[in-house]
Amino acid sequence: RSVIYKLYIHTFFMVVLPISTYFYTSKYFFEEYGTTKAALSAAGIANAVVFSFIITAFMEDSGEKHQKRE
Amino acid sequence: MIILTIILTASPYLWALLGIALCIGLSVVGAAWGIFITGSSILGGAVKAPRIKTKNLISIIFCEVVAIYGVIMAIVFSAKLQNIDSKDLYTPSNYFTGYALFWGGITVGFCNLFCGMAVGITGSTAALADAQDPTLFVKILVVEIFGSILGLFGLIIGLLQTGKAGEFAGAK
Repeated sequence: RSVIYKLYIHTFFMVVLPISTYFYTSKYFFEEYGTTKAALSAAGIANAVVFSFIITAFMEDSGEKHQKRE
Repeated sequence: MIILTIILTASPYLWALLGIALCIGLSVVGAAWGIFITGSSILGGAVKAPRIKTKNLISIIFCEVVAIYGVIMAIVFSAKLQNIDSKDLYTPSNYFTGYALFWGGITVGFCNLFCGMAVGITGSTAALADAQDPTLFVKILVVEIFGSILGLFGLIIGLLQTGKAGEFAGAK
């Protein structure tokens, strides 16, 4: 059941984090709005969320395998 | 002849907003197509092999990232929209912004459309192969990562196209 919970958390972060990163970096880090770099950083954050989900899914899977062997 | 007249005299607002609509619309079509193809396969395969449920959600997340790329680009494009009086609207800089947003939106939209379809079909076959033989999944994940990079290409080129387009401005 905890796998669905992790999926919900990752989906929520996937929607909220890139857009808020874009607005936050374009306001505070890069002087003009709508800069290329702010959008690229938002895309990087989206990929980081995907990466973290892949790692979570693989760890969950190998945890199940160890349980079955014992 | 009529089409040429329409193309030449259309307002920059038409081009810009059509581009934004195509950007988010086509990206979501690609993501939805991928998710429904992969989702049906995961559900079908999990009847006999329930262990595939967790790992194959990775394919779903890859498809959803494509939709998030479309949303990010639509937000970046829509930051350039302004309300300008129609007598000041038809300047060359505004025309450039309108055309840049149109073609940038088409670039991002079509790249994400085909990226979502590719990841979806690969993910559906990955789920069925994983149900048969668990060692295959990691190798198929490499194929999906390559497919997901296509959406990133669309995003980068869309950013390059519209990077120099200023927002809509009235004549001074």
